[in-house]
Amino acid sequence: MLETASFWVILPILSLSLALSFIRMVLGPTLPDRIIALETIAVISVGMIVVYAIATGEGVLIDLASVWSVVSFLSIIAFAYYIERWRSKL
Amino acid sequence: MIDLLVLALMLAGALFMLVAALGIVRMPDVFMRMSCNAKSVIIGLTLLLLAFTLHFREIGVGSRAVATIAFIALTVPVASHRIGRSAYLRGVKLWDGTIRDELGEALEAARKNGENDADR
Amino acid sequence: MPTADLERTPPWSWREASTRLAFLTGLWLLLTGADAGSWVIGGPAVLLATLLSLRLRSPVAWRWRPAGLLRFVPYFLWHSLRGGLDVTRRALHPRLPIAPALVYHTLRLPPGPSRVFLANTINLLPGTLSAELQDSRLTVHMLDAALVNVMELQRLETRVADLFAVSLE
Repeated sequence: MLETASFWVILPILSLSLALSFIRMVLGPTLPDRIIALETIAVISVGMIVVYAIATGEGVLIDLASVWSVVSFLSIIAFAYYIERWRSKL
Repeated sequence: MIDLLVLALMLAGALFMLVAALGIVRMPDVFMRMSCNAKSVIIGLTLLLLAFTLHFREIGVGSRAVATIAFIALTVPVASHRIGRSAYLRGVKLWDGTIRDELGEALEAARKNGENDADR
Repeated sequence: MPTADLERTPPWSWREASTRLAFLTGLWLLLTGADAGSWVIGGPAVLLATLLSLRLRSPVAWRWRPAGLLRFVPYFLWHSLRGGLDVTRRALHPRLPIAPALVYHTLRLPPGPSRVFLANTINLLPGTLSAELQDSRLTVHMLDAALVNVMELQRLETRVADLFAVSLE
């Protein structure tokens, strides 16, 4: 039951969220807007990994989820750091 | 029974993610997008990870899920603060309706706003 | 945070170092499920992480109160849930009910990590986002500049003061 529900309900909802975040990524209009979209995409993809782990019974996928959340956090911090220092217009 | 609970948690978590995505599309400026994003994203992911913990019920993977929840809860607010700060320092344009003033005046304006808008 | 101070590493005590070492060892045990073979990598990683965390310590001395943490966590969880429901309502509402404001809040907390902690915590509470923290002035963006939200901010400040065992000015 969980497998069917995950593949037919939960993952489609998350995919829709991903698509919406991509809209913001495309629209911008400023770099911080796109970084927010990036952050949302990163967290949603962590969520997708978690749901996939539940659906397939692969508990070890949690390692992937936690490492991915660490890496995405670092990338966002790095982006924020460079926005503060970039001299060019946004 | 537990499967139903797992399903409910997953559904709620996925819906919070959807709200986060909808929020960043609908909200009119950077700060509001971030406001929407940070709060719902954390709750959404926490619910998904709780569903995960409940589904597996093993110390090994459960503890890692809890550690991930803790990590997310610590880092997402920090990341939002950093992006918000960089946007603020770069002078990103605020939405036209934003009140930008000292505390007292902002409160005064908010109260007036409340009187005009009775259904909130 | 004052950037100039970051260059200077404050002296550390063995007691502090062992606390950090114990915490990071515990974290490694938790993450690897106490797998004996993992210590080949875990041992050096924990040692290096301890050294790094000592090197990157806050230049200002600070402490926290376990009882304050116990009081803070339920408050924080409840209000971040409220925050999530609040933005859900706003994002789904067809008319997008927002009355945003950029508010300058003068902090009553003393300088140090408690201020940074407050600035980060604000992001998860209903409708607030910290834009900048400079000395004692915190610029907060509010989705709805209502009086309740400002009072909420002051209440949060009291909670953080309790957690860090500092007094408000």
